[in-house]
Amino acid sequence: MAQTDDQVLVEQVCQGNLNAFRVLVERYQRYAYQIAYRILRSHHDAEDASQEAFVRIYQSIQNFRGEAKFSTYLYRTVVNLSLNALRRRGRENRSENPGRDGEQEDRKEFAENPNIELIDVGDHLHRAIGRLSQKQQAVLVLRYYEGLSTREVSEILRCSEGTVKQQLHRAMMKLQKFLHYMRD
Amino acid sequence: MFRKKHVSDRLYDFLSGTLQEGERAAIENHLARCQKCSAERRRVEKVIQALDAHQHELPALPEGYWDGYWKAVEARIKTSRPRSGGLEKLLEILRGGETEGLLSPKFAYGLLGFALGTVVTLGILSPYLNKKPQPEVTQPTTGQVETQPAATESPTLSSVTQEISQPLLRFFQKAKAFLIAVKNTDESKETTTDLISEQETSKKLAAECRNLKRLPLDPREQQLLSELDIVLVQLSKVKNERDSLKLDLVKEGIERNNLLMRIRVHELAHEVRLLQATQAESNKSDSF
Repeated sequence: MAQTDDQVLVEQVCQGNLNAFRVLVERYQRYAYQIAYRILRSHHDAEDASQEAFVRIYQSIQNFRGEAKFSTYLYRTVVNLSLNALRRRGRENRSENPGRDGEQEDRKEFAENPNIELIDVGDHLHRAIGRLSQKQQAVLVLRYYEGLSTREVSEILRCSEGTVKQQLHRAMMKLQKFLHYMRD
Repeated sequence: MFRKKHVSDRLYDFLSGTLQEGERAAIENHLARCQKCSAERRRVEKVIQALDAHQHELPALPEGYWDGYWKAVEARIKTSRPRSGGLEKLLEILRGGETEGLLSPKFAYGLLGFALGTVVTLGILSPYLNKKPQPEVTQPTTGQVETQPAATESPTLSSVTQEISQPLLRFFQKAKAFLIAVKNTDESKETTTDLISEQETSKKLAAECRNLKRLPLDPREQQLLSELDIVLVQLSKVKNERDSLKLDLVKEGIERNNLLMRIRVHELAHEVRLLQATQAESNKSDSF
């Protein structure tokens, strides 16, 4: 049997059908969690952000006029909530560790450990991703990890396709600098 | 014909094979002739390889996790408050909560900055706003009534205007225009000449900023000048077009510290001061 169209389900939810919302949640729960996890890199935070996104959407479903796809609306909410959580975490970290410079610490670690094979490059790469700007992280997650098109990403982040391409390129260049000093 | 427009922003699409044949061929053609883009292509390729090789695996979730997911969402729906209204939403955003929908974080911080700026401006201007310049009537010495400007008030307003507001206003206007230009800089299209002239401008502005910091200013104005000094010094150290990381950090600093909005608020305050001074002057001349 063909899947019921998202828009039809949204209309049913607007009429108070909670089961229709359940179908939508079960259809998108993995994607929502995955996006949140890629940004937050913590199971607990990703679970919280993705579930909260569904709750917010349910509460404001009347405002969803179907101008965008349901998935776009959902991913936008997940990204915004995840970035908010990231910002809160950053503020807490800064207040707990004032003056801590992660990049300098990484450089020091590489300098002190000449055997690059012993270092977990993947872990450092993901720390470098964490140091990208929030917009760059969001673009990288949606475009590279989730494989969404430039147009889809621009709709989710409400910016132009040119901005998406530019942010992705800048993210790549920053990561390349990181890889470059790793190999110096 | 060889096109000079660089293709940096399209390299990821090119390498991930998502371009139409015509665009792909045009980029290949450009890459064959442009060393800069060709070098960038190798860099992007390297990053993609690294990302591919170190995919951050999702955590292994316990069996049945997804079956219970809906129940957790449903429970949250039933226990959560209905969506808050406009004021509550704004307060929530200002507390660092949700930013989805109507108000973006930039807008919320901008609004907060504007509100604080207005308070600051009113605080700075309150002595002048409450005092109307009144001519002082002195005893006639030569048989006629003489009106003289208030001995304590006019010189204060005049010195504030001439020695503080005017140079600060000029500096804020230049700094604002320069920071907007820096924020809009696209380093992929930037030339070394542009960067050298930017370096020169930032050095001059930083020197001007340090001179202004010696003036007896409001602590918030001193703070803004100190932050601008740091940004300008950082900009004067951006060496070449490859130093994009530093430039990006400076741009983020401008945005994060809301410098443009704060400059505008102080600019407004000084504009109002100058206007008040002009009005006071014209009132004085009217009274003669």
